[in-house]
Amino acid sequence: MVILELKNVSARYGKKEILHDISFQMKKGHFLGIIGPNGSGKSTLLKTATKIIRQYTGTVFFNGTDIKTIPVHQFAKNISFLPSDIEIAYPYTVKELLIMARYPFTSGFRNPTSRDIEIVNAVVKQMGLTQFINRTIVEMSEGEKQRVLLAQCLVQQPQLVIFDEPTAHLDIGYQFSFLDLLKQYQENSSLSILAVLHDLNLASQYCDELVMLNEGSVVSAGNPHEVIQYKILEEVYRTNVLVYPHPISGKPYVFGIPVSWKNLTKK
Amino acid sequence: MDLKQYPFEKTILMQVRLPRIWCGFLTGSGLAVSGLILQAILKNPLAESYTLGISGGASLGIAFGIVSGQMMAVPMFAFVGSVISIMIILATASLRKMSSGTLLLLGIMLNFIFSSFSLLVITFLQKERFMEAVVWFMGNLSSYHPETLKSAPLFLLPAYFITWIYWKHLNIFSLGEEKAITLGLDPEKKRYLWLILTGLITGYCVSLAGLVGFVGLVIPHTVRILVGTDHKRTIPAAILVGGSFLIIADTIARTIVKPIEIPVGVISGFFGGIFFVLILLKTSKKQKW
Repeated sequence: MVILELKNVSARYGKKEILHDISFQMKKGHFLGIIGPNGSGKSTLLKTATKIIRQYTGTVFFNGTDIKTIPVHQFAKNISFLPSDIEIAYPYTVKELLIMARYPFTSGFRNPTSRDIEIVNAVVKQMGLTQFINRTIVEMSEGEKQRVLLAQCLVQQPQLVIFDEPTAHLDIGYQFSFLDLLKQYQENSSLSILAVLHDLNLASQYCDELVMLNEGSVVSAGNPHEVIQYKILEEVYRTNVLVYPHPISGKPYVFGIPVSWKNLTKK
Repeated sequence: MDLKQYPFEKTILMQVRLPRIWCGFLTGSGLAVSGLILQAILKNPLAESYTLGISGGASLGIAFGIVSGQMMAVPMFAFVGSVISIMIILATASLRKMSSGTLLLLGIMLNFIFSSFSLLVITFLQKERFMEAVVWFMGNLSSYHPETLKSAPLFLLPAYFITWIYWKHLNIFSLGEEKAITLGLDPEKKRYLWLILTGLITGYCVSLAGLVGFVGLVIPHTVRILVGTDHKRTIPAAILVGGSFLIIADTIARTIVKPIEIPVGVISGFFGGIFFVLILLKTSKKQKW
């Protein structure tokens, strides 16, 4: 079953067209990674799929419905989004931030119900955030903060979560624990995940499918073995790489090669 | 104590002191609430109605009011000035999609242009009129018009209530536009409604007391330190703290160098500033913004 489909989507930012005729499908329960060089339109693609960018041609379908016809509050009951480099300007506590994510479910001026609080508590427990619940977001480390923001997305109880470079500022420990948590949710509650990932190796290890963008167009799509190939990578990223299978998973793993090593590799 | 035995004191209390306290409360609470709203919807801790160009517009209104010679009409002119400046901000912002940072910068520039122009206007005034203008520019609680004091709460109190009902909006707005949309709140149009509301609140405050600085910027921050960041609590707290702060500042302004009355804006800026620096230094490093 297809949860998200982009059909001939072209989007422009100002006068410049950023996305050209993008089409792909994402299956329910899958982890789909968007990869590609800087400025290839990855973030624009996510913003188009989350109703943040409204000026585009073509159609984005969520569960078969054109998202233009879904009102934002309805949309927020099914999809949550974590933008890249999100900055919380004010010292909200973790608890306050999490309960905010029940906004689409609490109509009008009503206070959160006991069910809302139950949902928040469950997520807090699953993610091991109990000790942070009354801490303010500004006093947390980058890794803890990102975990709270992930929890905020999950409190929305979405069918699909969308992330823009969620692991960009995290150290390797937090990168893996973040993606492991996601993977857990994907397996246990059949959550569908769409993420822009900068790190090709993380994308290769965690994603079921990959879509590679370059200059606003899809250059390759499929499972990691199909997309992470040195020929494609060298062309798209304009650098030399080696691709070897990961010793444990067998998934493709990318090694970068500095230009100065070129003579060594020729031998 | 029976007030009837003291007719003179009674008149002072009922006709001078209490209205002045009421005026201080309304002005202080209004500026604090509008600062709180703007800081949330623009996601910027430096936002307040004065940095958004509203005070510049108001001062231009005041200048024209004084030039017109109709002293009674100065509050009206101040109100119109602030509403016009918020309209300019709105019109520019809707023509070109702007980030909140750009919007703030635009407001500051607008403020410079308007303030310079109003200073130009008052330089051509006679000395007495000039002083009158300066007193308005500094903010004071003695030259309010009784009619304004009657009509202002009819708008301000319901406006506070509406703001409080929508506390959840402000929470979500303050997370930024992208988060707001994906949490089910479309900020585009609602942002304009909030801007109009704050423009009107500030307009009323300016028409009551002239340009009282500082309150709109600092009371919201003080309140966050006192009761936390959730707007369910900060809105009522800003009303109370903002209102009482200006009353206290005015009491000091009236009494500190008797019989000379210092404009309240001077006191609120001076003591309020020192007070706030002390809070900042005392607050643990954890709570920053």
